[in-house]
Amino acid sequence: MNAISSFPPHDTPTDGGRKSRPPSVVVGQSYSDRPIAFGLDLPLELRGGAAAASPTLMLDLSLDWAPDFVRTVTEALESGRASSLNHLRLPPLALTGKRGVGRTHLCRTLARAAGVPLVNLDVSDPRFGPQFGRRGRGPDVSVPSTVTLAMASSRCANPIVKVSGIEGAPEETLDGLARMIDPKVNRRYVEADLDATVDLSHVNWVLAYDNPDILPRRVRDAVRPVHLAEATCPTRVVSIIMEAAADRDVGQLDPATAMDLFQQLAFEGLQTAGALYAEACARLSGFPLPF
Amino acid sequence: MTDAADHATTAAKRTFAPILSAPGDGPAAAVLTRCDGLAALRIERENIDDAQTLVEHMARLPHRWAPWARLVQIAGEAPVRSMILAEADAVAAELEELRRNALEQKKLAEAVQCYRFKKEPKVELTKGGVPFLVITFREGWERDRFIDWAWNQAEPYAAWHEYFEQHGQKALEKRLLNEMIRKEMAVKKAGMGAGGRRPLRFWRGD
Repeated sequence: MNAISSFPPHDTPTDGGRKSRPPSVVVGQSYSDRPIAFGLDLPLELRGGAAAASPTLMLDLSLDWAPDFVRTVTEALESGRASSLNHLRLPPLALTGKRGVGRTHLCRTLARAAGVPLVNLDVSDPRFGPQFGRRGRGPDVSVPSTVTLAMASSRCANPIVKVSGIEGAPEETLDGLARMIDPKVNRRYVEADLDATVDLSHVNWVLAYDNPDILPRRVRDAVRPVHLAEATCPTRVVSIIMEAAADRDVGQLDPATAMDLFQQLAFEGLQTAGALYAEACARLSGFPLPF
Repeated sequence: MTDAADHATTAAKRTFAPILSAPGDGPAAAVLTRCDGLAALRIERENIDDAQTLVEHMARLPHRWAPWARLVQIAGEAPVRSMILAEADAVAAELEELRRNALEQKKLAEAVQCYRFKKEPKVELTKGGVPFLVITFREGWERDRFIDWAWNQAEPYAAWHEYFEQHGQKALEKRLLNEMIRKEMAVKKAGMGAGGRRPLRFWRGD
């Protein structure tokens, strides 16, 4: 038996052989007579309970190259289990480190293993700024925040939201981001376009940036910094191959292909996680895409 | 800290570590084990000594434990097993080389040598390069007369060092010169002497 199959899968918890439903929460609350759009007045699932309940979740992932991340998440999960939490809940994390070290890869790997959706938010994108508290004027329609839309479309109240582009974001955007993350106010985040408040307190925030000084103070105080050292570790290569294989729905690679791929990527001198991922996908292009 | 204690300390900090599995009713094996006790990879050996040696070699490569275990997740056990055995062989070769070098160094450190000064009428005895006796002569030919005898000794110089440690420099010098004269007389009596100032010039030992 090979080791991967001996690692227990993290599945939805079962209750007497039947899969039990994950807990849920209503996140939207209208402050007008208008019904809330996108079904935000209906319960959204709080996912990741089975994964969070497993003490081996982080051991099963090939993230040995990011020990601080593994330790921080493990501690958060242990704390959640101690308080009988049955969904994935992490403190807001701030991943610092060189560009390309593998932050997106970490978030994707954790989200996949935990069974929660991942939302990538680039706040340097100028289209993101107007999402904060401005109503559309006249015939112009403005839309709720990407986070709220992602929660509504995935029907999940606790996605992982990875925020990048903080360095290039305007101050107004950072203020809006602070309101979303700050645990003192994010239970009633105002979505003016919906005439409603949305509870963002279940969202698992992961901020990716290099310079902590650019964050508004209340965000800086709320996040837990996790430094990612520059990694050329083979376990990162293995982990990225797993990610590429899973994205292409390859399943179990045959041993020769896997070793070949590993040797090529590990010794090719590719530094960034993105480059490794792209190369892994290209090398796996002989395999059918899952869509 | 001993090697075993060192290994235990390193292993405690890591997700994976190699351990020896030697059940009474099954084959001995080196097992790459996760910190929660799950076996990531098992490499069976013919006997417990071989398994123990493999574990020791794997223990010398702590930076490889996680990559080996994670590779099993994508490539299965067989190719990773071959990879580990090859790396363990390299460790064994490296250890053998280190052992040989250490032995050579030890030999050098323990070697007792007898040196002749070319430009001075002196002879020096050293152990591990450190002089413990210098015999000074008045003439160069006296030095060479001594060397004719000393360099053809069957007795290893180590015994001279032992004598020096027990009795000191003066006694050793006296003993060596006396033995040289006795040997010269014996060789002359046997009709084998070279004559002149260096009677043992053509003597090549007993």
